[in-house]
Amino acid sequence: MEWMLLLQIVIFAVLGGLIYLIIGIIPGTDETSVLVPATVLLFAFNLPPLVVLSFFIGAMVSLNVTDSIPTALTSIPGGVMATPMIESSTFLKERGLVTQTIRRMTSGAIYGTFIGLIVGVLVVGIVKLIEFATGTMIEQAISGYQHWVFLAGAIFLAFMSKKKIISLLAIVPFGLAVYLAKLASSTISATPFFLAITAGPLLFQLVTMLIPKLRSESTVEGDKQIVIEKDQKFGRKEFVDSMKAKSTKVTILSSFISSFLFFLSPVGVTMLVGETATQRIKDEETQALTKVSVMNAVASATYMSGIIVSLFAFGFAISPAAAGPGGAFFNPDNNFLASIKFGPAIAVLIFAMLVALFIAATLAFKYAGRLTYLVFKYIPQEAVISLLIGLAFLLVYLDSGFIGVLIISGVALFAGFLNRLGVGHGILFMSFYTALYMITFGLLPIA
Amino acid sequence: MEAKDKNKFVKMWGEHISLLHLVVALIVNISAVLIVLLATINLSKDYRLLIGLGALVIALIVNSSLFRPKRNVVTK
Repeated sequence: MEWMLLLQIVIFAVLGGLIYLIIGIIPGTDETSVLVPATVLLFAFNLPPLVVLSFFIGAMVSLNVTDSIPTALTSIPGGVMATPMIESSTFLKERGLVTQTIRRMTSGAIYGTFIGLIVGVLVVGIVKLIEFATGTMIEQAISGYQHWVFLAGAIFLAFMSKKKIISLLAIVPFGLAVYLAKLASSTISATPFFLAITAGPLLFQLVTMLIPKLRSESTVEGDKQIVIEKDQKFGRKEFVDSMKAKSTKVTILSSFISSFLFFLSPVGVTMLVGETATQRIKDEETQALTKVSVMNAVASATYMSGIIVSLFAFGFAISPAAAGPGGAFFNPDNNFLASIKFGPAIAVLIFAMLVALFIAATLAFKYAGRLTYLVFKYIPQEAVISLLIGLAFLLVYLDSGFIGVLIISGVALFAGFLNRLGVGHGILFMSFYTALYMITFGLLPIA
Repeated sequence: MEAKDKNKFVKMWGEHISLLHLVVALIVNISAVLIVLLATINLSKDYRLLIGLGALVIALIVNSSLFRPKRNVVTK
């Protein structure tokens, strides 16, 4: 029995790492829509909780390593998390530094993942210590005030963003949209709203294509020209060089700081910390290389610490990474939190993380060019976009039926519209949470 | 519309896309999901999700073989 479980944990860590390595490279795949169905399914078929955790961590780590690869090679982001890196990647590509870019990104992801783990465990320790010393559970202490916490988060993020006024103004209307959606159909759970926020921009752009004027504005002629640099030799020496680059200190420090910002949206933190940490570097080339390393590290770190802190310190999804992609772990029906112990769970988590890092980083270091070539050569973007829409449709329909699909489409269009105006995902997440908790506490009555 | 002029595409997120192909791909996907959902109406939610995901994977393969990517990829 024990051996069977261990074997399953190993197999599913490898599977998660390998499958999501490819999904990471596919352009435009959004983390929530690709991670949720797999974890929901594994829970549904009663796989042991630790096996599901192993798969999820393997997939998540692998995804975070590889979604930056196409960004470096072609300036097309492999996923939402890679979008902040487009500018620097394009600059470095024009200078012919693609190989170095990928190596810095990958080494950044390795550092970020480890630091996210360390800080995550540290925060769990601190929270448990405070709980032990004061005799109150954190969860109970803030219980009843969550909506204020998230509202403050939304306002904070709005002030940190580039479009401050429009972001601030968006908080209430989007919360109202969530409230109206819940009024219309109270059974819609949290995941459809997450899909609405993350897939909203895509849906909104599809709809704008119906307007002839906007369509002709974005018309282009002929195929997109893509030149992919050939993979270069990668051995022990190159590995050491990539890990010991000048930017390493900044990368580690940035990951450390951003790991504590687990409650903010990972894309927002990536943008914010990535820009701030590299502001002072004068040489453009060094700055861009440091930026891609820092950004990939920060993305991995906030994801990792967000998942760990949510699972083990709070017992509810306090980080957007946990609430969105990791949503299934916090669904009370799956009874995940009650059925695991910290020791074995963290051991499985570290094991899956190491397996996925090994697989994804090795392939990224060695075969980034070839992998991207295959994906770009054989998978048309039309198939990817329609797959994402199909996935969202399936998930929302199973959650709340046709009515749910209609309502969530409306919320998604609104989210996409706000996003187009410059309102970040993070602000929309926080606004959604604020509304959700206000509904839970009866401040916004439904029924 | 655009289909007449075979080399005219629209740009979405940095990628070139044929709207006609996209509409067909969307119809393939949505109808695959709809057929599966209607056919499995008596099954439990978990099986419907599993079969639905299977249908989407098949739709991805179908769409990928129907349409060529609008990219001219070369290695150097």
